[in-house]
Amino acid sequence: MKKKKVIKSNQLIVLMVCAALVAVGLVMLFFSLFAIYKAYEVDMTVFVSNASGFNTDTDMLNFGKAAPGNANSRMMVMSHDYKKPLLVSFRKSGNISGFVDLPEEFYLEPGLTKEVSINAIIPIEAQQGRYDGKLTVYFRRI
Amino acid sequence: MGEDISNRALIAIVIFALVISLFSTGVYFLKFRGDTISGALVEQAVARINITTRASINFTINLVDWGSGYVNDTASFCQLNTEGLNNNLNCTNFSTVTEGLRIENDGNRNVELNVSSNNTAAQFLGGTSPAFQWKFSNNESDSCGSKGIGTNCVTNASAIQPQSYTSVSTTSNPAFVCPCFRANNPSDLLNLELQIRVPSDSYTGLRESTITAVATAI
Repeated sequence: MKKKKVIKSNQLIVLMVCAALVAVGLVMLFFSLFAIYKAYEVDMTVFVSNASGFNTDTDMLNFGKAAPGNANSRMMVMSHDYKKPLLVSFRKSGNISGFVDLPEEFYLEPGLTKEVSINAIIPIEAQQGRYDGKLTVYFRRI
Repeated sequence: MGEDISNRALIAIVIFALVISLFSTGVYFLKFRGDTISGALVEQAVARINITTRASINFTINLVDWGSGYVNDTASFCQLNTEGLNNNLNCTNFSTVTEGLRIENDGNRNVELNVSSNNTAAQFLGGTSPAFQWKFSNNESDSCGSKGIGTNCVTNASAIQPQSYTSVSTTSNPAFVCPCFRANNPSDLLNLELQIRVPSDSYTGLRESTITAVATAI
């Protein structure tokens, strides 16, 4: 009589971890190769203080100094030459996230440019200090 | 009795999962995480993002808060400013404000500065002959000058305008306040003082206006 294969509980755990790793990996691979055409990561920073100041440097989204209750903005221009329209979307991370107001995602035709405003809106109750994070801009295939 | 999965098979499955995971993570990071902004323009593949040399600040004017008060019955208006003016004969319960707004150029580039308000005096205060005015000055000497050669600024005490109280400009026609606002400390700070005239028949309740300062690198 043929013996039936039995999976022990510790083997089951290992198999489940492996399955999770493979699933996450395949999802990342799908997004990398098919869903997302391009993505950029941009550093963001703002210094909350009593004073207000701007920073026009272009190596990052530096919102300068912002007083609670005020809003500082920076502009970004986007374009692409892909053969079809791409969906441009944004994601924020870091402790600056609570202050940053992102644009809605939008479709961008090839060859066209679009200027978007990224706003750091400082609530009245914000503590003074430096806040940092990252903005990720995704160009997604439709 | 059942047969266990062999250790050899289990190791093969683990190695397979690790390879898939590492490969996909590598592809993901190679494709996306390497593309950070390192200059004014990023141009890789055929999608581009460009951080412009323009920045703006929105000041909410209830921060320069005169508080809540009213115009005396015997007066037709009450005048207040951010330099301590609080006309007690005409005004009751308003706070005295002795400091206006400060605008600093935090960056490394000299900029030109435009300022606008989202409201006129009539929109902000209403009533008969309201006034909503501003004036600008150097807080740190020589912060604002004229444009020189290239991106340099040239000392010019009268470059900053207006230096006396003038009606605010609105978004459609912003005031050109400073042609060359320096970035170098300790000459990078401007004053923005505000003055309002509240008519006795002005709007009531919380009034709020937003002043926007837009800086563009030169």
